[in-house]
Amino acid sequence: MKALLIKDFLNIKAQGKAILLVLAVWFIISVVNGSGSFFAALSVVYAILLPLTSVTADDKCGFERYAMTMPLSRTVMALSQYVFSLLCAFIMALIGFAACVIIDRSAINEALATCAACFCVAVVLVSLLLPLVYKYGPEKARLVMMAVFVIGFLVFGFVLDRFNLELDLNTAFIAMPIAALVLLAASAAVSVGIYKKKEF
Amino acid sequence: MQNAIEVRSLTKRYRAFKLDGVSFVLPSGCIMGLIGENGAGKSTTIRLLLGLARRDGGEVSVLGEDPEGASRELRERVGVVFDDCPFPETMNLRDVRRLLAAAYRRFNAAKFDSLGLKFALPERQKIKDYSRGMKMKLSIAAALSHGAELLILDEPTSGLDPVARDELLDILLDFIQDERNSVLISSHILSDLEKACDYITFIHTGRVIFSEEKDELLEKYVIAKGSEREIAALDQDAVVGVRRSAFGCEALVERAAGERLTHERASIEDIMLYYIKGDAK
Repeated sequence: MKALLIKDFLNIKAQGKAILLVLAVWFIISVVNGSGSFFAALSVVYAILLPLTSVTADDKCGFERYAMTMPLSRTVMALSQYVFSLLCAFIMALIGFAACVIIDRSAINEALATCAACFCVAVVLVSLLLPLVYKYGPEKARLVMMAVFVIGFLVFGFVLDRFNLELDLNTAFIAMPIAALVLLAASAAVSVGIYKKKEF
Repeated sequence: MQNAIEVRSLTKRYRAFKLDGVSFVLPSGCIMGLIGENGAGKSTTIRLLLGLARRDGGEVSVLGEDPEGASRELRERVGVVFDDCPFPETMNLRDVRRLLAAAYRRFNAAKFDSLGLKFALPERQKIKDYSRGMKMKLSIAAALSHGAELLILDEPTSGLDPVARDELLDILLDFIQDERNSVLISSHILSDLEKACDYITFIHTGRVIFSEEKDELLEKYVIAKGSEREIAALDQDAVVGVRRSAFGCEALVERAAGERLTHERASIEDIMLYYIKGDAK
């Protein structure tokens, strides 16, 4: 596992400078606009962007096939991208938390809630994305995710509008993490299953 | 000592291709060359030996273990070199060292470094800026640095210049000095295999045509030259294939039968070509 995480972080090292630049720019924008919570939202974006980058880099050189000859179980291979994405999302959420507290001067509770919510969304998206990546490869998965995003937003907005539903925030705050965890576990199980059957 | 590789009636079905009852044995301490046309089944066989794909039939034993569901221990003991460098191209030598150190329990950083030095691999240069030869050498350095007893190489020499190929053979011959070590190498460059291998296994359209000691193979056949009549007069059971040209006929034939005609030594490449392309006798 450690070897794979090292490889993943090295894969995005090349993008590292670009990421820092983007973060710096958004930081300035956030300060000007007073909206630190944007950073927390970035956790969602990076949670899927970075693993896709890493998997694409792996694909290009045939690393996966080689990794299957290393002393790594297929389960570990399948789970490594989950660990990697969630680590990335967590780091971004932490930065977001700091940004909320410092820039927005939000109350700790509020900042925590915002970042936790964003992290949950990241968990949900990662759960949807990774089985697709393992089954269909990063390019197709990327396309499907974009479609899911768009459709998801539309459906969600439509449902809220049409049925005049109001989200009971308290319920949402309890239900969401649980739903996210359940989805994550299911997704991991599916991914491990896909990986165990995969032929190289 | 236990055989490094034992394959018995190995079968794998794909839509357009079938590996059909492949059997061969690689004794410990030997180098075996796997030869055959593109698409003959060499890479499929290697993938099955590495547990990368599931076989449909037959038995496989690699260092005494079934590679399907292989233990971590087995994979520590097998070093693999594919035809392309498997490490992400933004990595450099230092990154690869870190990756291997984390992946292999018995990773020997000193050995990896000394090989890196021997191959003149720069420490900080990204793999995407490596030449083809450098990429292969990096793959070899990785495969040799974790205490492997069996090296499996799938077309490692494609695209390499003769100097690099020669260096690779030297490395393999060196590796074999330790009797516990074995090598299976598939390659199209048969002259290389002829130099270095103890055994040759020839796979053609999914089947093993022969799997024999190289020296015996080279002793077994000659290329006899003569007129159409002279060749036709040979014991046809001993003739593998005939090639007719404007200048006469040549036939790959067992030594005993072919010796009385003008004959010359048959190379591994000759043997393979005659088996595949020899006209009807």
